[in-house]
Amino acid sequence: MSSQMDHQAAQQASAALPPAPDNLREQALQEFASAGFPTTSLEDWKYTNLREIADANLPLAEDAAIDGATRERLAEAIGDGAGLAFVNGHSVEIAAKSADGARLATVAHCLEHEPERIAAALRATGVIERSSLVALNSAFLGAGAVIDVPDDTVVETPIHLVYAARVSAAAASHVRNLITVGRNSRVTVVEHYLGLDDSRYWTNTATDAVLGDGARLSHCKIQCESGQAHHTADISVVQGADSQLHSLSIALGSRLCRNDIRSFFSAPGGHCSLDGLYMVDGQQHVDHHTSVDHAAPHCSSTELYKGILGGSATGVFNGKVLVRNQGQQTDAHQLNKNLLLSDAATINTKPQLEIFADDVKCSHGATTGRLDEDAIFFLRARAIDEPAARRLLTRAFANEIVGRIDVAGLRERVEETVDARLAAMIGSEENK
Amino acid sequence: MTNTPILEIEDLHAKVGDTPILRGIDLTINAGEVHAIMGPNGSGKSTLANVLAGREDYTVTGGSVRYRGKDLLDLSPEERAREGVFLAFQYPVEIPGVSNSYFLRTALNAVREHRGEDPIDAMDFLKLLKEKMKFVEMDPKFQNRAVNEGFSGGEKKRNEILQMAILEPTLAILDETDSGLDIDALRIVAEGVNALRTEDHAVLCVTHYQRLLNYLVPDHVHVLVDGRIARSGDKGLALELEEKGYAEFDRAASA
Ligand SMILES: Nc1ncnc2c1ncn2[C@@H]1O[C@H](COP(=O)(O)OP(=O)(O)O)[C@@H](O)[C@H]1O
Ligand SMILES: [Mg+2]
Repeated sequence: MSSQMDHQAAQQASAALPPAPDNLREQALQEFASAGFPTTSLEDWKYTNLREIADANLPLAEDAAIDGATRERLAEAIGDGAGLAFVNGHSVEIAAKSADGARLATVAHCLEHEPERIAAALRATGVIERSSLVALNSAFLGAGAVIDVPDDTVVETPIHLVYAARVSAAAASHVRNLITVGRNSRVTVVEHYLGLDDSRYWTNTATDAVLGDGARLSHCKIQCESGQAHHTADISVVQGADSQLHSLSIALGSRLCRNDIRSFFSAPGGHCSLDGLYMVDGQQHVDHHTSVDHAAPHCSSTELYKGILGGSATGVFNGKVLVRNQGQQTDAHQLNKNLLLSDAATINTKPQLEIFADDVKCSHGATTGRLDEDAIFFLRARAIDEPAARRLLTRAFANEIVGRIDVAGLRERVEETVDARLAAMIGSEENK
Repeated sequence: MTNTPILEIEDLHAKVGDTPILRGIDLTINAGEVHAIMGPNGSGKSTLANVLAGREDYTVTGGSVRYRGKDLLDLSPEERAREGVFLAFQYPVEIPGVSNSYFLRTALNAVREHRGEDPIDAMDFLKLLKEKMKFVEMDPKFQNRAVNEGFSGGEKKRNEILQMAILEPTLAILDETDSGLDIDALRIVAEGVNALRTEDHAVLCVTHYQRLLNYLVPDHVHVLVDGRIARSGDKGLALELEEKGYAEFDRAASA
């Protein structure tokens, strides 16, 4: 899709999909055609190179046959929550609880029957500037979920969206989640990305969320893609007055992962906490770019991102906080902590504060280090062997984030996944 | 009391980097005994305690240490702990994200596994923890707090005694556990140590002050100066040091 020829191919592929409201596909294609894939010459993409997918000219992923084991994994991810499951972007019927209070549908269903739900969500997040990957995603709109929570509604059951992938030849899927939370309403949405084998594919996902006044969204994204996969994600949230967003990103899989997480305060009194945990080793690359736009006064944001890096893995954290003229009495705090398990692992971490108001409280910090050898000796002097001591300390480091998952049952499952990942990472460091 | 040696140190030399710190230590501790090691700052007391616990920052350059007849220096720190050697740290380490009770249970189970015992049942552990916390007069809320994180100096020291009370070591080495403690806490440390004053335990208590020794009457007192034991005696020596200080030894060392 990088050349003119590819653009034509993309145009044809996009045109073959069902029509989207507001000329969305055509406009998005235009936008992508003029911008192209992000390249490392852009400041925001300096450390994350998409050349491999830009050059691959991937076809859209096709429906895969679903066996019993796959069905079980999808059901397991949903647990006793509500939700939808997809394989390669294609919806799979799974028995799950209903999300009482919320309207939950696939994007495919809405394109056909309720296009205005899609149009409304996309119009609202239009105020946020996003990368050209989101335009490409719009051009191929088709996979994903639409969640609408009316005003004054508390949705007790967490909604799980499970995106699993298994391809026979390299392919792409573009996933779109559109979440609208009405005034004083509350909902929890969990996005799972699961590689079912070690196939090569690209997941390009975008989530748009619109929070009404006093609304609360707890959003958790768990990325366990195949080790060969590329994963790019953009989560953009427009926050109304006194609304609260809790975003949590757990990134464990994929060879390359880029997460853009953006919050825009459109009215006073909002709060967002953005948390993340990334664990990478081998040749993995993980990049979190956060962006909080304090366009209204009296809003607060806190960020805590923690990384565990081994092997020759590379990590990036860039935390942008923009406080506009009108963003008086902003309270914005940001912290990025990294634990390096090997000499070859690297992390690039950078706060990016752009402050135009004068009455603000902003702080940022970053740490990068190894495990505390005094703590390891202390544990060993209490009979705990060295590998166990290392695992214990590393797990404790990760648990500060995992412990913030407030979905019943999910935290325990993520703990297990994180533990297994940790054991593998520490094991591979020891065998070197 | 019998004269079964628990710890036999012979001509122990150790260095940090290129600097020799322990320069020939001889010391035997028998079962049932409490020994105090005193001495000026920087004389090597903590170094001795840490070498016995197996800290790798120190290199043993000569001599031997036998623990219950085995070569102690041959064991890793965790093996020593499993065999019953316990060091109460002069500066206990904070471990954010690990609860005190999880830490204590993991430690206890590592010791039990080594002894061929099953892991302790969760309920039994909570009972044991409750009992021992009461013994060291620690608020139950400390069981759920991260190990030593945000603890005051005194709370950290109490926590060391709690660990000791739960692991019931054969050889307890206390490195200035009394420093900075109020009278109540001192009494608790002394009670913790006195509980180990039986036929099959021994205690090596490093202290800068005689204060603790009012509560904890040592069988032997040694003065460490410049990496060597300059004098040994009974509890009377501690009182004498309290009066005269270490000036005499400083002169001896620098002479
Ligand atoms: N890890 C270390 N690195 C460098 N020097 C050390 C280290 N540990 C101890 N020392 C030095 O060794 C000497 C003895 O220290 P220490 O054993 O702590 O004495 P004490 O406990 O008797 O006050 C001091 O001069 C101290 O500076
Ligand atoms: Mg000392």
